[in-house]
Amino acid sequence: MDERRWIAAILAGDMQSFSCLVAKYEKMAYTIAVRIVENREDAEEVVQDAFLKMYQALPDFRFDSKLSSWFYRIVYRTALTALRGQHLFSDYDEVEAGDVSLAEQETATSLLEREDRKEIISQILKTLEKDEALLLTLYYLDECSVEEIVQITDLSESNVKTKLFRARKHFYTALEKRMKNEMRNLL
Amino acid sequence: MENKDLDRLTRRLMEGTAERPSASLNTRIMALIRQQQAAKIAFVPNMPSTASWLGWFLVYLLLAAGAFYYMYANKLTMRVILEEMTPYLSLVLTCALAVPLYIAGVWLDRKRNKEMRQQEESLQ
Repeated sequence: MDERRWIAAILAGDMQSFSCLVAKYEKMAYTIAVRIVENREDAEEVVQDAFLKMYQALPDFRFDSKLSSWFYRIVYRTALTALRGQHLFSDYDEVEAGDVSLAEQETATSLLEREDRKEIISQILKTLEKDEALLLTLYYLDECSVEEIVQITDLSESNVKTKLFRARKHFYTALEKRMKNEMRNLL
Repeated sequence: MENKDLDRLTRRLMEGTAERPSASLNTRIMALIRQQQAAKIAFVPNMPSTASWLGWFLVYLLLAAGAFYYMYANKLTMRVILEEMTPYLSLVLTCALAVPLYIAGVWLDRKRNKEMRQQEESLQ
């Protein structure tokens, strides 16, 4: 259903439409919350609060952005509040991350064939910094554009690009390290 | 590998790795929203019962009878009554308007609350 019609139905009091909205966004909202608060129970509370805030703020939504970006921003802000003042994003770091090496790319490509890929990737994401795991999730999993990530996180566009580049490098490095350890254990 | 290819590879690697919340999360969220909606239903006093209507009607009759008796005893003409009432006319009109407006407000709020409850019940 078209988002405008969906929202109009919710504002007219159609709770079934809101339930559908919850079903559509709860998984991604929960993933974002887990990346930030790193705890399943707290993440569920964040998602509940975020949906409640969304419901209350829906009459003020003016379609300046995509509904998903607007809602993920609410989830993001709610999760940050749950962190109680901890900073999610580290200060701008001048240290450049190198490109993803050929060996790292080959290791990653070989992982595509494996049945336990999802589990391994989830574990790798947990080893990364929270902000890097969040950016990778938004950009590669939910396929948000850089502009949408800017709207969600309030970071500058250049900052998002730099952090994404670095996050991707760290992701591949962690992946290769993990696979090497696995090989070593097998031998 | 080009940047775009690397992005494509990363997307394929990340595919399906969204975290899965507990099955009851949707239900809990909807319960929270309904709770929030229920809180919106305003407190509305009860509409006067038939006995109250009759009681008030009798009070009005007694007041009217008292007024007529006062006029009769003092042999007041309508002209004199209007002249004496003029300073209090705005007060009398305000009081006369307040009661029906209050009753109409109560009736409308009760109607709205009833509709909201019916809508809630139909969804549960």
